[in-house]
Amino acid sequence: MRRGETFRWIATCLAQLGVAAVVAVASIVDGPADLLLRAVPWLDTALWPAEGAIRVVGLLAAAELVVSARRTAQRHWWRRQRFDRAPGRPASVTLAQRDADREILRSMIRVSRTYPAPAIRLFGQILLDPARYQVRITDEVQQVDECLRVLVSTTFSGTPEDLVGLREDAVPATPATRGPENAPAPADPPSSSGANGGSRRLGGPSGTAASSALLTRTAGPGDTGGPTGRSTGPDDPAGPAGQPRVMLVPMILSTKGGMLDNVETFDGSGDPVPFLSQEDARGVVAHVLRQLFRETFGEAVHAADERRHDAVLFALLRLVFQAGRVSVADADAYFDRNVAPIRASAAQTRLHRLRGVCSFLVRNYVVIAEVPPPDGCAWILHYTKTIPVYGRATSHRGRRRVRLGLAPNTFVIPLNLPFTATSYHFRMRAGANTYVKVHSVQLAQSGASIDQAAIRAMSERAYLRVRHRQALPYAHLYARRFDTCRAPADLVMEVVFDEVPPGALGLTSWLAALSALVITLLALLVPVNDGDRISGDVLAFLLAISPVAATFVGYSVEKLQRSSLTTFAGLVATGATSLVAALLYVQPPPAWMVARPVVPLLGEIRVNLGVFAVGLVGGLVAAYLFFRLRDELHHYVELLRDVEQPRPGRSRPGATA
Amino acid sequence: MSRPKPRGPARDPEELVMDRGAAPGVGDDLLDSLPADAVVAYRGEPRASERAMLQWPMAAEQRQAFGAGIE
Repeated sequence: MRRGETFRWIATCLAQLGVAAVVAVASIVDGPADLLLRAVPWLDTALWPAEGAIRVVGLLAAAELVVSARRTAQRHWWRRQRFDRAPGRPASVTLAQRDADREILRSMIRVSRTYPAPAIRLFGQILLDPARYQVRITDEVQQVDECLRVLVSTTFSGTPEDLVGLREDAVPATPATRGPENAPAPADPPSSSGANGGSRRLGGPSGTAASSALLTRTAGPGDTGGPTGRSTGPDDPAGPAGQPRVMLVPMILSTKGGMLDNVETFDGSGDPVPFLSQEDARGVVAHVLRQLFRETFGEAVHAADERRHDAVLFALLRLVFQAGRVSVADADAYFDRNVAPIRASAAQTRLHRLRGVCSFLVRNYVVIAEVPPPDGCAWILHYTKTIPVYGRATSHRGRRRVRLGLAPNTFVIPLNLPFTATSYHFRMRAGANTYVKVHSVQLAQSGASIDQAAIRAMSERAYLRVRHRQALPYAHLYARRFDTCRAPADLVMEVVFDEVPPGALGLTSWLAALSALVITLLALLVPVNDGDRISGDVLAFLLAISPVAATFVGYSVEKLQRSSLTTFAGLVATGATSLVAALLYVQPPPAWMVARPVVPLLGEIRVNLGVFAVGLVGGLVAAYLFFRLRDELHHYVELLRDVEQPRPGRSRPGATA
Repeated sequence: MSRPKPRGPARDPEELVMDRGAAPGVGDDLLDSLPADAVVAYRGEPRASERAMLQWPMAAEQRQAFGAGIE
């Protein structure tokens, strides 16, 4: 924004507002209006038949000037925010085929030099068969400010066969030998001798042949290759000798294109766990895909077949590692088109599996953790991240809650993880003085509720239990053997929290009743204001009811934010009735508003009917709040009673979802 | 109580649309069926049906054979 622009817009706004004020005063006040008419005599001619018309036009002009000033200020505010200065959404980086192949190959070589083969092996097995290794997942969600914070704890378990290779093969790394920075760069393609000499070629027509030979080089005479056939000699271009004693674990599957917020990972003892870089993760996944590809299409026999296989493999790797997210249909179409030349050599089931894996990896990426092998056969990993919520302003009621500053109390949380583990726990706690009112499971697409029959239809061994209707301050869902479901369904949980009654609603109800009582007594007992005897005490008392109510209920901002719209509306109604009653009291009432009924023992009294009517409205508000409070209390007490003493004929709490 | 019908992709921040999947309209029925004051958590992770594409339970021998092939 240029210097001086602020002063210009302020001057413009002030000028418009000043002129508007002058015009409004001239239109309303008699003296200036007469002056205006005298100054411009033709205004008072047949063109303007009445002075009233001039006043109306003047007021309209003043309103237009105010609106114009408002627009000027709004425009200036918008420009000052600099909303357009964000970097925007990044465009996808598309590499040339040759460069993409080279990057993939470079990643594969670096990974194969850095990590022992059993680590990559175990990674592939966990990635493709997670339920075999993930025995328990605990998903804990907590509300933090306007977002949710999730802590996912996964207990892994492997067989001795899975882990023994890691312990035996691994050689402690030294700083001089470990890491991609010490590895020679892949050779530049293509060298005509790269395809010879017993080396099996990997790489497509884009010229990755010589480099790919480094991946699967067959140990020759004098080569101190490792048990997997990988070279370990210090002079061997295939890689240095030292490889760390680590495991690679797929820790987070994340949607491509999204951002992970505030991710932290740590192991069972609370120590931080490092991630692999994007390049290394790509290399590890590429190794797994390569093995899947081999299992699908078999080993090529002839050199021509081998070239075709390599071309298809790298086409698939390019698809998987491309930046951005494409639809499953597009990915499948790409897959089918590229696989067509060698499709005949694959079994249909394996082909289907490879296509599914590619389609998944096109749309998602794997966050890989590097952890030391466990002493036993099980190990625990945690990750925590912040997850935003959406849908707060998609309905009128939701927008109303936002405008009133009320926090969300109904959460819909995707249930993605139960199908990948033997057992799954979900827990959620909203905050102090709240309890779980509803906890249900629904189909994500249709919103249809899931009951035990639906669970049984998914799998005979699946088990789902929700702890609800127990007036607990936390939600808990337990799922077991969902990994046996034939077709995993997209499920969501709906968790509704409510404040423990009476809470803010109870206080509001009592204050509304007190306010209504005071106003009604004022109408009946306090002498009517006759114009010269306004009781300051009465006024002060009436006007104080509203802030006192707000103070009582809102002694905890957090508590008020978690309260319902009814509580908020009750507070507003209480304040409004107090204010209206005070205004009616100040204004001397007309005669028709004062009744003089005769009351036994009191004789004739004077009643301000206006104040009395406001007192009645306040009483109705208080009655509504009390009925609502009674329902909430009744429900809450019923829940407590059911937990302590289940009654026959009623479903046991938590027995069904 | 039902939500108003979706009014196109501009209703959500661009990065939050993805949880609804690739097919347009997926999840909108869910939003319609929810209470009006519900909010939806964006996990940024693949849905269960999408994860199913990746998962291929294997017998122990198959798993070992698969692992042995990774060099």
